[in-house]
Amino acid sequence: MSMILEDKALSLFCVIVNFGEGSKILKASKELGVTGGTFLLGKGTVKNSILNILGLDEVRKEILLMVIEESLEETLNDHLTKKFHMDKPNHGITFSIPISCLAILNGNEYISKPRMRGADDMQYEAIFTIVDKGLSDDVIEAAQSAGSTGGTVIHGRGAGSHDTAKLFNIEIEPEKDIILILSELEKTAAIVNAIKEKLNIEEPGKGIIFVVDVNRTFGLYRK
Amino acid sequence: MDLLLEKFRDVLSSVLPISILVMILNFTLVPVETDILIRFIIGSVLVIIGLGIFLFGADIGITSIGNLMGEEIARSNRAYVVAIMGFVLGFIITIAEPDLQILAHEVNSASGGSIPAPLILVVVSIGVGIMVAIGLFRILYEKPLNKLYTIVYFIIFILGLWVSEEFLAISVDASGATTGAMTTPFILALGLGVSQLKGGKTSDEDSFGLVGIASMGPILAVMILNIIAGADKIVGEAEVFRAHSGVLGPYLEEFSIMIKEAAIPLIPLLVLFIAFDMFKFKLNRNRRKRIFKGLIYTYIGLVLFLVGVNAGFMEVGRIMGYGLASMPNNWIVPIVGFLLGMMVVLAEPAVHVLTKQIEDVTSGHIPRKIILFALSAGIAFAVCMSMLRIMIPGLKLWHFLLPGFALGVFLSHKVPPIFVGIAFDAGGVASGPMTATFVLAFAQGAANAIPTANVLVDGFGVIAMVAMMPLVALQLLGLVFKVKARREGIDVNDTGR
Repeated sequence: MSMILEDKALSLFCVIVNFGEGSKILKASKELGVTGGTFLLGKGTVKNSILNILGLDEVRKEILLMVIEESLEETLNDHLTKKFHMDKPNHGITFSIPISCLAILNGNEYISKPRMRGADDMQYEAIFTIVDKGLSDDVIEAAQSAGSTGGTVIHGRGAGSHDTAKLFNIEIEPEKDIILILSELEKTAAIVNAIKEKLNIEEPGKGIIFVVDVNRTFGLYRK
Repeated sequence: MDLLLEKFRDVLSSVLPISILVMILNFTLVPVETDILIRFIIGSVLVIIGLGIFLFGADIGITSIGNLMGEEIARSNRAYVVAIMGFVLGFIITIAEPDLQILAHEVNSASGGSIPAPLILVVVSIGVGIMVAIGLFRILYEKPLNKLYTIVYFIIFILGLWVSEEFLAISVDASGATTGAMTTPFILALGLGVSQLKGGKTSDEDSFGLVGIASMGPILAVMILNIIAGADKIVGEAEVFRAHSGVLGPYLEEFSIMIKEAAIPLIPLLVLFIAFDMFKFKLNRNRRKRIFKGLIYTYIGLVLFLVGVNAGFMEVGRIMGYGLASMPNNWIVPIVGFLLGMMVVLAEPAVHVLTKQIEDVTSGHIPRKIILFALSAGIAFAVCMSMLRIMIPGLKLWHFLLPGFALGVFLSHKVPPIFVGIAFDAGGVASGPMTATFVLAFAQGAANAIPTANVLVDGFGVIAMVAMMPLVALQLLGLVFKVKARREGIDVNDTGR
């Protein structure tokens, strides 16, 4: 991550593919200038009546999350579609979500800069923090000290721009914790800054934080 | 349909290497009769199909049941429930294990009838039951795995001083026999279920190690039995080997045996699942149907796999071992043993279950390929050294086992905790039906041809080597992982507990 990103429009580029494909996708994306990505594991289903009857309709999937400049979206999408035949069925899907802000290594305090919002009920933001495995407790603690009510931890693995080790020519991608926190718009800045400080996110390789707009929420407890 | 193809390719790439190796040997060094060769080819096909179906089934059947039960046990939050459930599950699945029943008979005849077979069965099952209960407690109370292994292996070492060499081999073999194709995925899943529900910082590394703990039960049990019963010398003769003729005959014979044998360990699992489902899980209809389907697949797959191995692979193994060892330059035996070991472990059903679980738990951080690589290397050395032991009279089994286990225990204090669990689990996983049958047959064949070797004594102990080497190999991998990661500045979560 570099500080140039700060002023540009960013998006969260998501790719869902069969298990084992993710690293290849990330490698191809890195060639186009993507700095890193995080993988989550999931299960997908196949729509096929024979497989359904046999009970074999569940497939292991990988979800790859990459923070990229919005301008890169087109190229990346085209390239991946061509290279991995995403336009054919069962070859994976991609989608992207706009990111409202990215907290990175530029020493500045994070300031929430709300975009124009259509209605009053859009008052939440989703804060994603990606750090090394085992640090999720620290993130939640920091967030709570800044007024968050809680967070959800997802396990994944990830590779940034510098931290890939190789063993017998197989890449080892370190384990990561992804922490999802929904926060009220006014509190986002405080929470992000608290996490940033506690975990030294500004130092390279310590992790990233990005914030995504949320349209509606249900089930959140309000004091 | 892509999905099926992909799975099929996966299985193909794990069985073909060993098949090709045998074919090459056939056309170069040890030609076998056409009948037996055709049987081997049929066997390979059955093993491929069987393994594929079994793995599908294990994934949605046994693994699901193990996970659900593990979660239920952890949820109970009462120490006595954990103790009773751990013991009962461990006991039931062990006593139903066909391999153990064969072993019990062997021990009975080897001890000259002084230890009755049913007694062995019960004592070993009690051993596994107790160890599974201890293993579950360990997860729930976050006791470090390496300390537990150190303590138990120290006890085993002390007991080993009183046990004759033959029974040393039998006791370690027993641990391989109890971790069968059906029970290993179940125990793996049980540990995973308990540790994932419990959560906490160590939940990933605690997902492994239960198979390793469970497989120490039989070692202790057989050793104690031997000390009490006091049988020193192995008496009796090895079963006389007779080659089957014909192509279909042996298959029909094996089929009628396996159709029963594969069902036996499945029944207690099925009964337990139905009982638990009625009172505890209360699964929705689809989920329950899936699990039943899974169990049916496991059964069909296992029958095909075992028939293929027993009717197609076993005799070829024996003939190859005999043929190579009777050649003038029989130094080729350890070399072929090395290659054989390297490839045979890939076709082991539980290996696939373990590597998948590792990927799931670490989100792909520890890739399957690396585990397979280390495991292959480990088993290759295990088989190679077993052959040397058969050929060189002065070399005893404990010359390998003692330093091997000592090194395994020592390394468990040096490597990231998750590798300790994986390594000790892999010991039980690698000594499955494929290795047990094929490698054992190869070793017995070689022992037959070498005048200084004793088929009965040297036959035992091969499985022991296969069960021991993964401890060393995978922990060495863990060490490399740690060093490598440190150099690159990645945190491997080395809490050094």
